[in-house]
Amino acid sequence: VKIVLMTKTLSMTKKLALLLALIAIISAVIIFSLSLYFNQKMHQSVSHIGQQQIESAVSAQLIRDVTILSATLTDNLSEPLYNDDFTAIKLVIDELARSGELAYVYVFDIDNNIVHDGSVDINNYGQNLSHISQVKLIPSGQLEIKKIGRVIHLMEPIKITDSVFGGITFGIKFKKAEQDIAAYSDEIHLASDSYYRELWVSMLWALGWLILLILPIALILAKQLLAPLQQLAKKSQAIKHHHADISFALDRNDEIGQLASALQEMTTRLSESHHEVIKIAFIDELTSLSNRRYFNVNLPKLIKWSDQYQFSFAIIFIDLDHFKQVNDDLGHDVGDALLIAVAKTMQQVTNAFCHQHHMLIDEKVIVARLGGDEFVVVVPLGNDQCNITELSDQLLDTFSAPFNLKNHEVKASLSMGITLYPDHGTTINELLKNSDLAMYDAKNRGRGCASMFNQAMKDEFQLNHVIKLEVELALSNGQISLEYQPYYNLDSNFLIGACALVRWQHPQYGLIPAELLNEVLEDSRAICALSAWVLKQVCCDSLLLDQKGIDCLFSVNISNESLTEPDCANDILLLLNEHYRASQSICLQLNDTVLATDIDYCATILNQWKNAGAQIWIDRLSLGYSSLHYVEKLPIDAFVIDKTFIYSLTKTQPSPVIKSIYALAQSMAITVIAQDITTAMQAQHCRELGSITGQGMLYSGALSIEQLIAQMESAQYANKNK
Amino acid sequence: MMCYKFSELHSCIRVGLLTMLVSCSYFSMPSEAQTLVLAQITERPKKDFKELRPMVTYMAEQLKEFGITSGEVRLFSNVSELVAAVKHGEVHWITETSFTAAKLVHEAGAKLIATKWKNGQQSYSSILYARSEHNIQSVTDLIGTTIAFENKNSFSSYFLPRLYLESQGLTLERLDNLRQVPAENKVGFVFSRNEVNNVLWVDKRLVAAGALNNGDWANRDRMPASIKSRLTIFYQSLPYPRSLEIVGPGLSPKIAKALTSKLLMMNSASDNGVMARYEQTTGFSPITPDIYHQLEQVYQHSLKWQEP
Repeated sequence: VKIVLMTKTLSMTKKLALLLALIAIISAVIIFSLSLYFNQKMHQSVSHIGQQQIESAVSAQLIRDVTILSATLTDNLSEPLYNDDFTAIKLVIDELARSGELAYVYVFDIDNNIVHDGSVDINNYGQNLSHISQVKLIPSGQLEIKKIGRVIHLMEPIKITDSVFGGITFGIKFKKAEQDIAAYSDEIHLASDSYYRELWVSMLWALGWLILLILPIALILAKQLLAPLQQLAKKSQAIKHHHADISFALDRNDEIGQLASALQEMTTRLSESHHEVIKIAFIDELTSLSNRRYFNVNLPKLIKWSDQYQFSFAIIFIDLDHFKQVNDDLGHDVGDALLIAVAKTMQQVTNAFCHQHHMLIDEKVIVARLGGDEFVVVVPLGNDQCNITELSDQLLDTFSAPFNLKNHEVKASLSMGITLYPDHGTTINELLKNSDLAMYDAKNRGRGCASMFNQAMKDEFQLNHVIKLEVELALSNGQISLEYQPYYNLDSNFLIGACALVRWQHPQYGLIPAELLNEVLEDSRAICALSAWVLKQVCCDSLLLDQKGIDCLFSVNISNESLTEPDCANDILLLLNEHYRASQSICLQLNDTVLATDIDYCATILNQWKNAGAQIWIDRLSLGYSSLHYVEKLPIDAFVIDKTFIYSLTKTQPSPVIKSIYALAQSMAITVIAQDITTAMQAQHCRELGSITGQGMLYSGALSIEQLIAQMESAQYANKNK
Repeated sequence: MMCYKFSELHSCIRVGLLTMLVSCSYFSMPSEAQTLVLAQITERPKKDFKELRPMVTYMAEQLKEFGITSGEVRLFSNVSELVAAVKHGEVHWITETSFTAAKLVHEAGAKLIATKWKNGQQSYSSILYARSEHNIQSVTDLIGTTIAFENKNSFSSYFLPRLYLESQGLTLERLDNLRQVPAENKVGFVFSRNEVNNVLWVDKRLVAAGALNNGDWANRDRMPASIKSRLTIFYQSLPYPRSLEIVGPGLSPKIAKALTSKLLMMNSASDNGVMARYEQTTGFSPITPDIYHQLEQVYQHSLKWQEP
């Protein structure tokens, strides 16, 4: 496993070097082994031949010696044989026996009968030689000598002058010679072994040196061979690190050259393909402006450059006003055409602005479509913030003229939110969010304008966010309570009731105004819960007064949602039914804007509520979509006119609109309640116009339920006393 | 032919050596006897010289007080030469068998001084033997056959057996070799040169009978048991001294007496091995009168012989 891991981590050069070295070493080992093997073989062969040679030489020498010995013996034996001198014959035989190991010896007479066999008592005396199996040679009158097996057999005639009168035959064992040969062979083997050992050691030394030599040579060779490949690998690494200008071209015609050309071609194609992809990835298909991805990728770069080169830049977040309406009214093709025209114009204006301020139109200038009808323009500023309002103004000016699109005159209105880097945020998210806030501010300011982001926007956004998020929790943990703005009889100045006001004492943000609460929670489900809670709380408070025998009118603001959402409406109805006695003194105060939605539905709900005992009051009568028709159809008990009208009552004569409201109310027997009366004159006018009930700082500020109860009690007491 | 040549060579060596020794002794005065000369007849001069030399040197030392300054060995190839040398006083002391002793006593005026125990044998007898299957009942069975004696100087294996055979009325004929056949009415004899040949010739039926002394017969080296079992003794002589110590007339009686005394007193414990080297001598005994009688008989008989 270690080897596998090692080979995985080794460079190609080292691997090749190792491979070359391995091949060379294996070859060397094989050659050495073979040479050792053949050397050993040759040595064995030489040794064997040598031994044979020695054997035959020794044998030959022995035969020669024996021959000479035999010649001497026969000379010495002639007289003793002639004389039958056994003692002398024995002496000669003993002499012979001393010169070698005798297998047998026989001295025989002319008839080949044994005369002496070397023994003391000559047991074989008189036997014919032919009866002796040891004797291998037949007397022939000549010297006979023969080596059979390990015995040299000799037979020689014994002569006196030239006449043969007997002979000697004997066998000399080769044993001693063999022992000599064996001893000699052992010496040869020892020498051979020693030589072989030396050869081994020499070979091992040579092999060791060879390996030491081979390794660096293999490394150099591998480096040489792989140098162009390494070059290519380095270039590939460079490509990996986006060095697009790298050329792979190598001036060679071999496989590596071909590889280099292929890589070069591949890189070129890759580069082209890369540009194509970039185009697809970063360009908005419809408008040909940069897209959101491009913006997301390039803005961080811009932030980086900005930090590096100390310049700021502005982001103008642009939203087309009422674009949905264009799509709905004129069709999507006109909508698309509008987007294309807007984009083109936006680009032109931005380019012109850059030219005007001698700015290069490069990556630092971004005009992008983020999606739908949202655009963004990013321009570097230097340190002059005025420039950006100049650009936003130019954009607004340009877009004041309508576009002629597919035979339609279409006017595009832009709402723009502007943020500056780094003043208004340091991250792309923060900048975009703040631009969005600024853009909404522009929308809130009536659209078709630009807003520069400021901290208040963010604070307000955050507060709104907190309100939405925490309102239900606040209801349960008692942060939200009620205060009561008393209603008075404008004629008698008697306290007759109160309007319930929601008070949210937030631990972090302090007292949150009721208007803000309504505005923020408008169109959300939370407002239903709030309305229900207020109604329930008022019902409970009403019971307190009722228990004291005090009649008191309570008005409760009911959100539009509580009416338009059937579930919410039903909750209100259930509450009214639950607190039936209290309901008789409850006035549900509704904004007239809600009445424009579904008049029949509204009539049904309002009738249910009214039947439960509550009065129906309509607030802000003149500001919504109410019409006489609605007023006629709905079970309305009172109109509430607020400060918008009341403030106008400073003049000596009331406005005709107010007069007509009062006239309408009077004609339909509807009471008009005046709110926010701050001056006696306003009270006077209201009385004169026909209001009998009113409220405002002229009479009293908001009271707690305890204060209200106290005041009601004292008013009741005063009234009784009258 | 070959035999002749061989004998001639052998004789030449022997004569050369003897001549050298004889020439040396000529310069010593017999009367002064400054050099003690010990002699013997021999066929193996080298061996016998080695055996006699230590004794004569030793005894010369022992007899220093008598003016003897050195000892010397002289070897002779035949009796007549020895007799002449003794007679001339060139030889003072002789160690020999009974036959030579008889010659010296009768022809050279020599005197016996002691018998020598050789190989533990003070005396020996002669034995005639043959293969058992010959079944020799009487020496007359030997007529027409050949008997092997050891050599012509052998007292026990030639002189005594021949003396006996002839005393039994047989005529002996000398044969040169085994291939010769004796006359029908004679007993042929050959010399076997040594005891071993003598035994083997009888055993291998080359001769009908052989002659040995009783010591050789008992010697296992000379008479292997396997062979002995096939042989039978058909005559054994009376015992004769194994060897005799003799002094010539050249030695003064005083010194002869001292020599005799010294010899008789020698014992193997104190002589540093001199006696043992002196032909395996184990001791000396004084001469008894019957020995002279035996020698007289021997001498008388020998006079009838021709030298073979």
